[in-house]
Amino acid sequence: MKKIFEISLAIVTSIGGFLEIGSLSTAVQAGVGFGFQLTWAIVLGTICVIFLVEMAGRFAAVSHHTIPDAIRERFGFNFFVIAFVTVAIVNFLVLSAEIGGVSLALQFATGVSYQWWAIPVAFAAWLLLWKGTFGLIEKGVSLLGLITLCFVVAAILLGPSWKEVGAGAIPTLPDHDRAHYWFLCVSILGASISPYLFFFYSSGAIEDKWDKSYLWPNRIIAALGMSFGGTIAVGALIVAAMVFRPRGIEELNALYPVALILTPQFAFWGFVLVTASIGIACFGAALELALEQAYLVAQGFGWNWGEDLPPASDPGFNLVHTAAVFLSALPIAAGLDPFKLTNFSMALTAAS
Amino acid sequence: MPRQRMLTRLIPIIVLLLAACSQSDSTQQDVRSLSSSAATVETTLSAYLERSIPQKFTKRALQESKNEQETLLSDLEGSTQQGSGTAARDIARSLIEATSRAQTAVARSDRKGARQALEELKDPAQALRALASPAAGQ
Repeated sequence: MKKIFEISLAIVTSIGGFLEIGSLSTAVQAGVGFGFQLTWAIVLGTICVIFLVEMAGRFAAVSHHTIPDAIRERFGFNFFVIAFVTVAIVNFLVLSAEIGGVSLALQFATGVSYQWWAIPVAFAAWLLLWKGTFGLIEKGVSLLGLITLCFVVAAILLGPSWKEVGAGAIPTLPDHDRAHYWFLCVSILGASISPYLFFFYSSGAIEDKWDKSYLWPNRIIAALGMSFGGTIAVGALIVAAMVFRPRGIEELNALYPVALILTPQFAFWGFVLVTASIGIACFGAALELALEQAYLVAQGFGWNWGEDLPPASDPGFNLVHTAAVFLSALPIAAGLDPFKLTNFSMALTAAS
Repeated sequence: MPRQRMLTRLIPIIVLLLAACSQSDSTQQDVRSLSSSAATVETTLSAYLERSIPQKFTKRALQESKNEQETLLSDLEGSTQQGSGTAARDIARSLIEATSRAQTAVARSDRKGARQALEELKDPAQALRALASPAAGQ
């Protein structure tokens, strides 16, 4: 009974934690630019991430090792350094984009420029990382992330032609803007198959003390959690295609129009839902990324690590997530556009 | 040697052709971006008038749109001086003026002025849609 509860909770948190600035932004851009035609990229990305997450969880449950641990032990430190530098740079950029996402949501809500929010957001994230437990971060914030299901509700209410949506799940070539189409395709795959996602998942499995009895739960969590999570991204794509394209909006050069995406269905509450969705989803992802950066360094260099340990027993781990969260806030505080940073970092994630 | 000479002559022609193609493509791309920007401003203003979005958000959104339109206009001014480029520049100017008026009206909480600005936006938005259509790009 306890395991069933754990599985259900893990599935729910996977759904709530799926959407973040990258997946939302790329899904909306795809819907705006190409209607349902890029649905297949989200489906493909989701299938890939299901397999990767399942493998990461299985590996951690059986060997009691995380992925960075295993890379270092199996291939040696020199090879590990290459993977470490690549993932650390990508994590830094994506974390910066997530902090930018929360700051933008606060700008939508208050009218105060996003630049002013970057450091307070970083401070709030750091405080939660310092004081909170792994369970609070993994489950608490992800449960709040269920608000992103509003995109699925809106997509159903809009009543799309499911035949056309289904046709979009089969890859086809675009009749215009081929370069943009492929760039978006790569960015969608980058947003779905982020290395931090399955690295974090394997560290979480160790934090939650998984053993071989978790092999089946792991499969169910990976398959159902990620599938439902992918459904939210498809929901955002459908809503963008059905709300923006008929109004003549066929490309997105900033993130603020996304705040208008649910207003045709829910009026003012649509604005509130989108703002809260962006804020919560990006904040959750920022916490996971800062933790992942600390996991990566601590596991790679053989330090003590664990979000549930008191900071005094793993000072290096705590120093890294503190530095990660504040350093990543600096580009946003300096005025770097979160939307452009997101597009760039998603393409880079795919390349990594 | 003759082949080398031929290549030396061909290279500048190819470069010029490529530059011309990329210029016409970039003009068409700018027009498409302006058309999307006009549609975004219309959608934003409509949502504001329906009280679906707050005034502060609308003000900032219109400012961002205006900045984007000004960048696109300066891109257009830097490109070809003829044909659809000239028409697009004129329309872009009237779009920027209408967006500016809308922004002023929203800043003053003048809903009547915002409605009027929305009406003024319709002509440039429609003209840009026509220019941005694939048929106009050919």
